[in-house]
This record gives sequence, structure tokens and C-alpha cells, in this order.
Amino acid sequence: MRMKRILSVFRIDTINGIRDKMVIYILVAPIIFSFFFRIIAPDFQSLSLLFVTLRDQRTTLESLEKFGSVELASSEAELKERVGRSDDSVAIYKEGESFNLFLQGNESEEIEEVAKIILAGLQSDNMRYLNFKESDQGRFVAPVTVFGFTFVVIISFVLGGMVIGFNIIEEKESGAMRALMVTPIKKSELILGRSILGIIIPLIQTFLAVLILDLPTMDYLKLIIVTIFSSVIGIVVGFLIGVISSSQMSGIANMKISGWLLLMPVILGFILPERLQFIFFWSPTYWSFAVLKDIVNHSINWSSFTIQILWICLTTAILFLLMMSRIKKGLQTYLN
Amino acid sequence: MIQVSDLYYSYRKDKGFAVNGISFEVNEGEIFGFLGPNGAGKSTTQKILAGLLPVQKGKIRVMDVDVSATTPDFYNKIGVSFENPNLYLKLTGIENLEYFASMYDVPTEDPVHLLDMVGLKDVAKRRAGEYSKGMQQRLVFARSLINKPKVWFLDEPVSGLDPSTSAAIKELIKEKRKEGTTIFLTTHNMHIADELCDRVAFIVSGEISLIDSPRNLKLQHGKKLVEIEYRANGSLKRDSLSLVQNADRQKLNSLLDHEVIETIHSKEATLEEIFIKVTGEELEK
Repeated sequence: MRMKRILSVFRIDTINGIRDKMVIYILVAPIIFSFFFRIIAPDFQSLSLLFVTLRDQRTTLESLEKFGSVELASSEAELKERVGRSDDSVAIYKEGESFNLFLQGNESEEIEEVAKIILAGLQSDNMRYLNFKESDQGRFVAPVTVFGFTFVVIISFVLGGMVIGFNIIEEKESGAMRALMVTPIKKSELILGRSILGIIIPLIQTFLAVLILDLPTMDYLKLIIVTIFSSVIGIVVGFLIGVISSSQMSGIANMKISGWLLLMPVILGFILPERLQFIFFWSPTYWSFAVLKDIVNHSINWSSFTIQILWICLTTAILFLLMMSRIKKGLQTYLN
Repeated sequence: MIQVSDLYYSYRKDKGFAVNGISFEVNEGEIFGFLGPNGAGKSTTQKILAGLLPVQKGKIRVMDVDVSATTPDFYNKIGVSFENPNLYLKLTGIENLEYFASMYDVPTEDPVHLLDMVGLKDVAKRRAGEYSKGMQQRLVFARSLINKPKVWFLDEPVSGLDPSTSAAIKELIKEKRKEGTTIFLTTHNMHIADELCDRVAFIVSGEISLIDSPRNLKLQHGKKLVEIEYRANGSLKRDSLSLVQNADRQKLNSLLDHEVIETIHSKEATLEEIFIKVTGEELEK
């Protein structure tokens, strides 16, 4: 195996990619997504609790001000109307000797939990002895950022594969592959050379996403490992799309279908409850999503990480075996 | 240099053979023309010889290498110029050649020199996609020489080229033969075959009908006549004279000595006429 030829294939694929507007759009898309998630992600301070209480309840107001900002309502009806708005706010007010807690019902579990603790403190009248200080302990990541980051990283695997697929389709359309096949290059060298781009693109886009989404306390070693292993998914799919698509148009259609198949477990994995996650255990991107989510949340140790990486390898290998005959057949047509 | 024995090939892997039991040999340093109409099996044979299609049945040896078990070294020694301009269209002319040069394990030609040879030096830095079809064809031709091949496969090398470029390409082919390159030329253009080939094979429906040198074929199949146009007594006259009958030979000598000759043509058969006569097929289908 000659490194010179492998690097040559990589170099030419890169030049070809840079000169193709569609590929440029593909490369820019994750960066745009990262900025989008950065804009919509709330910062830590803006996540502070917002309380609503009645205007004439001075003592309650003073107690709640320790925990967050407080808005005042003139009546119970106005208070309920305020809680019903789209943002997350919690109404606490006194009625007779006891306190009432009023929630809209769609708040996160954390907000509900905190509101209940504060309510219990108010009722037992021991709030005045408590000191309260907000801190993210350097580890706070908003759920939308976690989703945005995992989504961008996984989309970069898919897009890396797309670049490979487009290069293959172009070679098919021009017949250039036939010319390459009468040179000493081996198929393994061609596949390796072509795969480098499918690893480098996700690595660059992942680190751009880290920078854009401002996630500096990441475990970079784990991130690099999971990115490299997960890139293989995109490479396999890229080769498949390349060899089965007869033109750029059919390539785009095949990429849309496979792209959704790969991204669906990520999107639904974020929405669906834990007990239903087994539905996506077949999907390598689901395991990539699970590892990435835990890396961002700093909640994965090396042993769980290794197990999840093995799941990525296993599901990718199964995917590859299922597609192997189609890839082989496509390669044969491609070469002849 | 090339030995083909009892070669068959079917795209559907049934009895519908695109190449049907052909055998031939190509000697070192000769230009061997493989002539036939479209769909005759020429390109299929060339693809098998170059290792692009597998050997289904039969034996092929190129440079003493069994083509069914080629190694990368085999490809270091052959060059293939395709009929269709199969280039990387987003790469420039020079990038196309440099890319292919990097594939070989043997010393390669200077890409600039090759581009100069085919008249593309001035557009070396333009993308191949911006070239005209003729320019692309010349780039493909230049690319096939990048590894200084010992055996050179040419598929319709002057197809679609203007006369002056075509002449330059033909000169280059002749030059390579002088340098000792063995050339396997596939074409349906009998004029280029006649001009360049040491020997030709006629192939129709996957079968070879005849192999010989163009000169022998013309002598065997042609009429030994001369057609002559001359001025006598102020008017233009035409005559057809035998080269073997004494009376006609004397008349020809007399005309040459005493009249103003305007045109004179020997009536040997053209390769195209011989092809039709031997195979019963037209070349342009």
C-alpha cells in the first residue's frame, strides 16, 4: 500500500470538493446550525427562576426575591394569566395561613422541583435562615445546546459521507474512475484515500461547533475518539450512495432518505422518554448521540464510554454487512 | 507482446457473446489496428486486454503477464487512451496529469511537456470542464502517455479532432512506434488504420474475419489499374489503364511522355472496400 497514492486521492477529493458549490454548502451547513443553536440557547443567568406573586403580599415578595426575579400581579386572575404566558414562571402566593403554588404544567421537572422546595421553605417559615447563591459550577449546559451540539456533530458525519458520495458520482458521470482503474492504484488505497475526507470534515466541524456553542470544558480525547469512530457511519453511507446513484440528482434523493434515517434516532432520542429509547438501539447514530450527550453533560466515565463505542462499532458493522452486497455490485458497475 | 487465444466475453454471461472466440498476436513495436463497426466487440476486447473487464474464457498474455492475474506493476507498463474524454472536469489540465502521474511507481513524463506535445500548454491551468471536446480528447491522449507505456491502447485516438490536430496526434503515434512502443489501436476509421497500422484485424459481431498488413490486403483485393486524366488537343480526357497488360502499359508511358497529365490514381482497393468485401458489413452503422 502506497501512502503517496492514498494522499493523492485525498488531495484531489479535497480540491474537487472545494470547487463544487454544492459541497461548499454542505460544509457550511453545520456551522450555520451551530450559530443558530448558539443564538437560541439561553445563558445561565437567563435561566434564573421567575416568580409571580400578589402585589399586597410584601413578606412573600421579600422571601422570593432571594431566589430570582419577582413580578407582581394585582389579582389572582392576573397572576394566573401571567403564568400562562410562553415563558417559564412560577406563581407563589399566600391564601389564608397557607401558601399556594401555581404552575402552567409544561415546566421542566427541575423548575417544578425547585418551586416545591421553596414552597415548603415558605410554609415552614425557615426561609430567613437560608442563604441562596446561583452557580453553574462550570458545568451548566442548556438542553437546547446539548441537542444542538449532538445534532451538529452527527450531521457532520452524514455530510462528510455526502462529500464522498458526490465525488464518486462525479467520477461515475465523467468515467474518470475507469482511467484510474488502469493505473497501479489498489482498491484499498482508493477507499482509504477517499475515506480521509469523511473523517477530517466531521473533526473540523465538531471543533467548530465546540467553539461556536462555547463548550470549552469538554473531554476532548473522548470527543475525538467518538467523532472518528462515528465518521465510519457516514463513510459507509457515502460509498453506498456514490455507487448506487446514477446521477447527482438521484444522489441527492438517496442522500435525503439516508440522511433522515441517520438523523431520526438523534431527534427522536432527544424527545422520547428513556423507556422508549430501545427502539433506536439498531442505529449507530443513536449510540453516537448517546455518547456525545453524556460527554457534553460530563456524565460518562471511560468504562461506559468504551461500551458505547463498541455499540457504535457493532451497529456500524451490521449496517455495513447489510449494505456490502449492494456496495460490491455498485462498485462493479461503477468500474465497468 | 500481446497473445490472445480463444477469447470469449458475454456481458449477460450467456451465449450472447460480445467477443466470440478470437485469437491474435501483436508483435513488439508494431501498431496493430483492430477495425470494425460500432458494437463489433473492439472496445470490449480492449477493456479485457487492459484488465478493465475480467477474462471469462480464453487466455491473454500482455508483456508475458497473464491478464487474469495482473499486479500493480502491469499497470505501470501500459497506457490507455479512452474514446470518451473521461477526465476530472473540475481539475485543471495540469492537475489531471499530475494526479495520474502520482499513481505510478515508475518515472513519469513531465506533465507540462505532455501538454505541450498535444497543444494544451497555454491552457494548462484552465479546468478540463472548460475545454472543448477536442481539447479534452487530447488531454486524455496525453494522460495515457504519462507513465511512458510499453504497451499503449488507443481507442479512436483522432475521433472528433480537427485535421491539423489529428495530423499532430498521428505523428506522435508514429514517433512512439519508432521508440519501440507496442500500440493496439481500436478504430472504425479505415484511413487512420491505413496510414498508421503495420497490421490490421477486421472484427465483426465479436469474430475476427481477417488479419494482415494494409499493403497486402490492398494488393490482394485491389484492381491493378491506373485512372488518368490528361489534356489532348485542348480537351480533357480520361482513361483507365491496366498495369499488367502490355498495350495499356505502353499507352500509359506514351501519355506520360507526350501529354499534359492532370491527375493520375492507382486503383488499389481502400481498406474500407476490402472490409465490406470480406465481412459483408458497412463500417458506419
